[in-house]
Amino acid sequence: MTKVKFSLPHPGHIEGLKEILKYKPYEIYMGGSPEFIGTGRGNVGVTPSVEDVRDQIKIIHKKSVKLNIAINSSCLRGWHLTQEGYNTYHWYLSALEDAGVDALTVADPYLVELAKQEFRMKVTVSCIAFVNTPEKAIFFEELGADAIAIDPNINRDFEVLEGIRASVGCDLKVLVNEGCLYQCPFRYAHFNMISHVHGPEPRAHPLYDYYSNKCLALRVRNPELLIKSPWIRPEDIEAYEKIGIDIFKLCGRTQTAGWLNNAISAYINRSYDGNLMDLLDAPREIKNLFYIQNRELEGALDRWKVCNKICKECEFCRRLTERVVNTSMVVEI
Amino acid sequence: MNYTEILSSDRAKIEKRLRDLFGFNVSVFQLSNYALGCGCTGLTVSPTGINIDDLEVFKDHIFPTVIESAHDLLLDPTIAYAIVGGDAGVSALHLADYCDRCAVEYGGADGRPRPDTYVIANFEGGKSDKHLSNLRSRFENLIRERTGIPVYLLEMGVFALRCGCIGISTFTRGMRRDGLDELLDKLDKIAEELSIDSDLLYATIIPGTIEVMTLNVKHLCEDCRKRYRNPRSDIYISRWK
Repeated sequence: MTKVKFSLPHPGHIEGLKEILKYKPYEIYMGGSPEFIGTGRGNVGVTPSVEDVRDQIKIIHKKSVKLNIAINSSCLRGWHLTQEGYNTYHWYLSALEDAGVDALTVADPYLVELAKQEFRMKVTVSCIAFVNTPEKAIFFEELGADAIAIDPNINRDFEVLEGIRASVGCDLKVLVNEGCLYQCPFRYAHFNMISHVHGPEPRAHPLYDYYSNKCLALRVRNPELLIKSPWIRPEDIEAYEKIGIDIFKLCGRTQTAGWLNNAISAYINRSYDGNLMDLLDAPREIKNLFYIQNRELEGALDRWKVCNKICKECEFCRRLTERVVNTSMVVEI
Repeated sequence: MNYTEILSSDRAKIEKRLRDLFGFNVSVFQLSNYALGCGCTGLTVSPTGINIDDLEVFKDHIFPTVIESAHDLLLDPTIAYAIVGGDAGVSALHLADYCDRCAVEYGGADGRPRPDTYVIANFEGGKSDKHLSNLRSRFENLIRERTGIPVYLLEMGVFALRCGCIGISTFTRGMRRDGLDELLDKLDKIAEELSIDSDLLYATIIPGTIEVMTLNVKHLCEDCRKRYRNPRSDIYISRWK
């Protein structure tokens, strides 16, 4: 078994950092300060300031691990292209670079170019840039990307993955445990909403997170959507190494340390004997409701590799759902 | 005292304790006893005006009152933790009797499982009364039978608010409007079992959609009775009693 490069989520506090560093990953990533730029996730409690980053990076570098700061808002509301916006972003990126940050994850092409032209930090293109074709990968590489986190929607489309690999020389990352819907119709709107609800002021204060609730409701009503989600089992990492994927990124920086320990161990050991839902970065209600025996999914990737995505003709996922998804995980007292 | 009288009285008792310690700007706007779909049960104190440092420093003066309240409600907690917002203010203090999964997820990390979560104390606990959990399961099964959909009842909570309202809130996932009025009537029967003399049955629905978020029955205070006559856009009133 080769040593895989993992990019692990860091919740942002020092106690969480110590837990994650135990695994000696290639890099850890955490959200930046939402006062400047939002990320693809909500904020959990006190968010790390530049001073916090500076303090933590000393500990991180002592372990020879890199720190990547996610500032991957999907919407910067045009402010980045104003004089004031440019000055603010430039100041913030300078502060991160001075603190010793190794890399940034960004979604907006402008920030890729800004970071490459004016800073020395490495740049990862976020999965929120939706790189899902060789053409788009080439565009971002030419813009300066050092790594591209591939759109998870093509995680099981090996023909396109191999095409991207053949087209660019930068590092390729895959997200292994994102619990999102395949071809999620809410994805753009939801990330935009998160950008404004958890990003810089002025912030919106929605009554409900429509997108999240709708996504959960769809899966409660149709568990087949859980199987179609483009997660990668710990046991299937080797198939991605073989086609030249460089870095395996775990989601979960808003989860608890105990949850992260379990999920990270599973992927590092490339094996999990339990409920797949334990590993997916999905809301608690979905995790509590369903039981999917991970072992029962052995071999499914071989079918998905050649899947033409016309579910009505195939029905493989429907039959697999009937066989492996236990929807009766209800607390019976 | 019956169940909801205990809840209301304990809310006032905890608020008084906090005010004796920190001054009159502190309040407890809600005390709720909950059962979750994962199997956890607990008590949530929702304060305003205290921060995590207050809690850390004065925990030995606060906790006896809160634990007494838990015992009044037959809760035998295994953990006490606070949820802290970006301004370091405590938005909730939980005493929970964890299920096996949550016990693992909230363990480790020197009592800071997430940046917003501060574990204040651990207890042996684990012998809580299961009545509320049973009610949650019973109501979830009923919803599933009536709708034919594996609707998930994330939480059933019985609450006492500072304004004087008491009631039950249940949080659903996967539920739509079908059979809503009938199910609210069934929830009202459960409320009666918990000695809640309700006067309003309502649901919250994401405005402009079919997605039901909560089912609720409430005994309203005078102010809220007026307020609910002209409700927010997400509130669907099934009936007044």
